[in-house]
Amino acid sequence: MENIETPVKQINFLGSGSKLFGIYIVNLLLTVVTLGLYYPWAKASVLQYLYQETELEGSRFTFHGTGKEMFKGFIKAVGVFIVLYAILLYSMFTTDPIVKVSGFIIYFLAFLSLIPIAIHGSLKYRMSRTSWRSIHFGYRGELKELFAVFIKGILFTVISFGLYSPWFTISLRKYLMGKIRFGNVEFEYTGNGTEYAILIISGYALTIVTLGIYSFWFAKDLINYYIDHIKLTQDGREIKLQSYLTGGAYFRLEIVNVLIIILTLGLAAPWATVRTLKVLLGNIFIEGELDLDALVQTEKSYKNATGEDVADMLDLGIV
Amino acid sequence: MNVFEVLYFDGQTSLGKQAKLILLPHSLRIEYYENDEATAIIWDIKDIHPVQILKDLHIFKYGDFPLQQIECRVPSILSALKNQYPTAKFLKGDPIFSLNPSRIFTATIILIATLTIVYFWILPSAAENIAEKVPLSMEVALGNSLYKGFMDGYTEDEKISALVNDFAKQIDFSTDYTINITVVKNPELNAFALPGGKIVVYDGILKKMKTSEELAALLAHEVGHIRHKHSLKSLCRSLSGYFLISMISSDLNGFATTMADNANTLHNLKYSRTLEADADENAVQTLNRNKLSQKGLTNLFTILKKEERIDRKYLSFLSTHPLTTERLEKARINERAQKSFNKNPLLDEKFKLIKEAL
Repeated sequence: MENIETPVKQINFLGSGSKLFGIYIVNLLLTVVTLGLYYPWAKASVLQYLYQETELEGSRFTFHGTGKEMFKGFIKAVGVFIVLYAILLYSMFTTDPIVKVSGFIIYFLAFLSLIPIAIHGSLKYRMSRTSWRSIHFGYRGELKELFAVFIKGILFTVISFGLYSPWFTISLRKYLMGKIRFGNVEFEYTGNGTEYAILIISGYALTIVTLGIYSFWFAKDLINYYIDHIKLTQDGREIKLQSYLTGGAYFRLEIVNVLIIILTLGLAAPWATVRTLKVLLGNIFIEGELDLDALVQTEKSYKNATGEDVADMLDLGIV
Repeated sequence: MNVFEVLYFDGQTSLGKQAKLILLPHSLRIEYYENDEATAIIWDIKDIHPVQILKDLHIFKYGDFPLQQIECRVPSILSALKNQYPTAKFLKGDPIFSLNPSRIFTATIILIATLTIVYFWILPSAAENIAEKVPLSMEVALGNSLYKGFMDGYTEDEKISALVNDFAKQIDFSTDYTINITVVKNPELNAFALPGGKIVVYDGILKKMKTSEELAALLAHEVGHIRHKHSLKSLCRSLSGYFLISMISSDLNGFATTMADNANTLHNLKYSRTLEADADENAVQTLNRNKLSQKGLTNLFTILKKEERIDRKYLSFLSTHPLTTERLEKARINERAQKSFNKNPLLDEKFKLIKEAL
């Protein structure tokens, strides 16, 4: 029978701007008063709020991470950056050319290798600390393998003067997504480098031709491309994610967000965050026979937040 | 009746079990049927995590990884629990998720006040303190590194540099820094000081000078920047401002950050004007100490003023240097206040050599 309708599920964001605003303000105050030391707790409370207001089939998501865990990671991450900057400063001021050059090379290489370390650690932490109906997500990637993907990607990108970067992005997504588990549900990324490259090139071209107006539709295409190529597998059944975000909706979202932020000098940023989450999640549909009652706990607990904090300092937006 | 209908998740599978929650004196009892078999779970009150209240949905979690979980949509459950366990910690929830508007308002006011105090008073003085404590050797190293970077784009006039250095040796600048002057070939009227003792003078300004006192005034002004560690102080100040903004902006978005960055730059520009005024003051004192005429400074500003083609009055807040008119005015007052000065023949002689070599 071909005409059986595919079951569809949705993730809803139910948070409110005013609640998030209260959390932001208190967080900012405590962060400033403690000279930044409160930051990990601030981050934990925002994530906890955003997760608990995200709903699937009547149950909320949970972020289990705590300020204390992230503070430990934060201290380690700060240590790493102090050492890195010490090397950089030393190389800047030393007069010995050999020490100078090798100092810069060490700094550069260390900085570059921090990126996969941060992605790996951050994803592992974030996934392990996310649950729904007590079933935890998990990331089972190996740092060594991620390094291999990274080195290959960077090498090809450099050799091809950047042309390889769409293929690099896709290979990275394929690796990372392929290692994510939600109980007994396995994730997979089915994007294709060539398609993605065409999408990017035509997107840039149209953006230039339309004097930037197309950029909203371009951004929409990128988001949809990302979501539409996420595939889940549960007991051999395939489930697809599909994003129906339109250029017009994305245009309205961004324009109104910019207005909200400009008119309040940034104070109303939490309302913009809530709007964004509502629009993005509201357009994503989970299509296929995902049996949400049959998820089985498969992952172990993982509480090391160092990667998460390094990623934060590098300003990597991962999830 | 202290029994509630709940949905129970055991942490092993996502299947919710219809269960009865019974409030016992020191624990919660969860009863449900699994494969037609009655099962009971006991939750110790003290190991229950803070309650999450999301409109009519109450979520309770228990134990260590993987947590067990109860969802209850009966509105009266919270008051029943509070009656039964008046001192239980888990019923308080996390205070940050239950802020009321007046608390948020108070926090906003305190935040704005704190930010104002930190940004306008605490950070600047902390930054200056740090700048004061930087060891001389580091300052010299920083200056040398900046100097190298700058000199890449310019050619030094070595002969004139030597003559100007020779000229400077005749003046008592009253400083521990070793002053070293480089003259570069460039028609602009400009000169600046680097941390640690290096001064760069464009030959354009030397060509416009007529008396030795003008050069003395210019050098004294630049030495003022060096003595008072101005570059280091403004570096520390702008870095500390940047630090505060990046601390806050991790919670704001890109646009707000850009606005804050620009405001910070403007604030720093205003600060650099007070630094110029300090350096001018140093020039006045140096001229007096060396018994040189204050006319040097007045003439210097007259040269600068002539060069200003457009009236920049409307830019007064934005300009790096205090308006030349303002500075000229001040220099004239100092000139009138000066009681005695001498002509210094040795300086005049050295200045003549410079002018001849240009």
